Amino acid sequence: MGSETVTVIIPLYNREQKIARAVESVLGQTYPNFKLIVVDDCSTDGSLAVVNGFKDDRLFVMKTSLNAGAAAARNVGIKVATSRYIALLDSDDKYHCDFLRLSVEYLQGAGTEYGFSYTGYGRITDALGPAASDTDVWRLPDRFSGNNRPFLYQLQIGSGAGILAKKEVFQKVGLFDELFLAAEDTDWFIRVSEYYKGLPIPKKLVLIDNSSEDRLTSNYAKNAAAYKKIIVKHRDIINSSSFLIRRWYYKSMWLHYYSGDKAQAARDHAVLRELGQGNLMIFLIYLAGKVLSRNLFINVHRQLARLK
Amino acid sequence: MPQPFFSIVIPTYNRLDQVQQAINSVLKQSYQDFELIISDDGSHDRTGEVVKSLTDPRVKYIYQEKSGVSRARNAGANLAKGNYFIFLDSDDKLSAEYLKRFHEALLSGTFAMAFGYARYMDSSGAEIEYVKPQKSTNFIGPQLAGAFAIDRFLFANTGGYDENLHYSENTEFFLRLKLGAFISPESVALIEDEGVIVYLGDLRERFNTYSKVKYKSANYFLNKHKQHFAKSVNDFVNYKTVYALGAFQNGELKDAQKSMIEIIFRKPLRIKSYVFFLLFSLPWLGRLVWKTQKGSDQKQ
Repeated sequence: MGSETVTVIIPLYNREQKIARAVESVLGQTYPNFKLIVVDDCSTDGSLAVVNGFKDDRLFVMKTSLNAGAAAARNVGIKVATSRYIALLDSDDKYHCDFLRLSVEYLQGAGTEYGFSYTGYGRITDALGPAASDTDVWRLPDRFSGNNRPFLYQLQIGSGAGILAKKEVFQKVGLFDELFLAAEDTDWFIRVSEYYKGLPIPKKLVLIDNSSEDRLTSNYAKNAAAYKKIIVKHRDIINSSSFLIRRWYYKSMWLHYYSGDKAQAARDHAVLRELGQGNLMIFLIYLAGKVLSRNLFINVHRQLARLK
Repeated sequence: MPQPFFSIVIPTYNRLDQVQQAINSVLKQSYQDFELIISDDGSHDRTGEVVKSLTDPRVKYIYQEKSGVSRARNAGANLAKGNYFIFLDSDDKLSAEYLKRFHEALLSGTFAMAFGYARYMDSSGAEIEYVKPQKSTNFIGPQLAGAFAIDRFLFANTGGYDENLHYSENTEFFLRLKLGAFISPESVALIEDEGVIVYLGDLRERFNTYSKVKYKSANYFLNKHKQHFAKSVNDFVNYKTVYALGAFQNGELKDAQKSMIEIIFRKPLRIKSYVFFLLFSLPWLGRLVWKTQKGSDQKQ
């Protein structure tokens, strides 16, 4: 024990249909020196039984004692990990078989300023052959560049983007904030961006699943609450740049419209104007949210996003 | 909903005076984000009354019919909401800045556990022994209630304390942590200057009252982890020695000698085993040696 280079951590909550392919994709890696920790967050379906059905010395199943969210589930795995690197995988996504080998190779070869690497990702329905070459990239998050907090400006990635992080990064910036019920990865990446750069790996090495993205008010409410929390927590950073103000307050505004909290959305808009970052587009979206029903607003806003 | 950073669980049985001192050592801490759970293991003194009269909303009281320290700790843990659990025995105390320093240390990295020292005091308050926190691939400790804080989910993953054990339940708990590959030096923080203060009281009395339980518990322990002991010579030798001592103290001289022979077969170059065998064969000498012994292994 304790000699592995990488610990892969999958938080699991009620994904009995999808968890097997995630676990298989880890156990089938071409890189040998890893340990997989699946942390079951009190699933109420057959998820745990599916994982327990795998017999592999590299697989460790942990559990939480109460449903505590993905942040808490990942954290307990990170706390017991002894490896140099931590890899994050969501329970509905899967790796290309070369994910670990390439990620370790890239990150090992990079300088100490790099705290983590991330890869390109495709849809779970895409075919993912053995040659996940550069040309295969379906959507690679933008390269970070230009300013002192590049990452924050171009925060396109989350825990699903094939993240391999050095364990020391968690030791430096802390674990995932367990008070977040959504976007805990965003909050973590903001903290990481204060100290480290992210290393892009220009290959499509993760397949992500968008099918479970649904329109439940409760999910939007969780996201909206998380954005509100992020703004409070990182206000100094966000208010320091007009780009960031626009990015975060605007997103908080429309997420609150999505969740049906018109009052908070209006407050976000008021802040945007106070800070002199309002514009016509934002004002129109604000008006639309004010007068339209929740569902209608979601449709309109999504259409607009597509046009952009 | 607000979740304290620490949950301190104190199991207790008929120790009103001491448990009040233990409680005070927690309430007086400079770091205050905690809940304190008194898990009463069937006391018939005024423990319940006194604890329930405390007005601090962070203090909780639960009661069970007398069923042992392990179950009392687990019952407290089931109720606990904190990020990290600390199990403190009712006759022991936390040092003054314990929670403050543990909190700092736990936030300074990604630790699943933190360990402080264990200071053993006699009934006059003089220090008998000081065990400092340590971590290596072979040993992480002190493996003693009060000396460590453990992540709530890590605790849940161990399954908690074995309720069949009334002695060396911490040793067994730590063996399961190790076997489950849940702890390693990397996942542990050490706090050198704070820890638990353990009051041994009258060693002789403790020695006599615990010996039968100790004997039985060691037997149960050896059987439960048979597979592990078949593989690990050192663990086998250590735990079997505890068992042999228990046998000796209960007058089971044959069993004590037989156990030492087993130990010698597994690890022939351990001189101590031959000395023990000799002492078990000359019981009057053995009794003389162990009755005057001072030390930490009497208190678990």
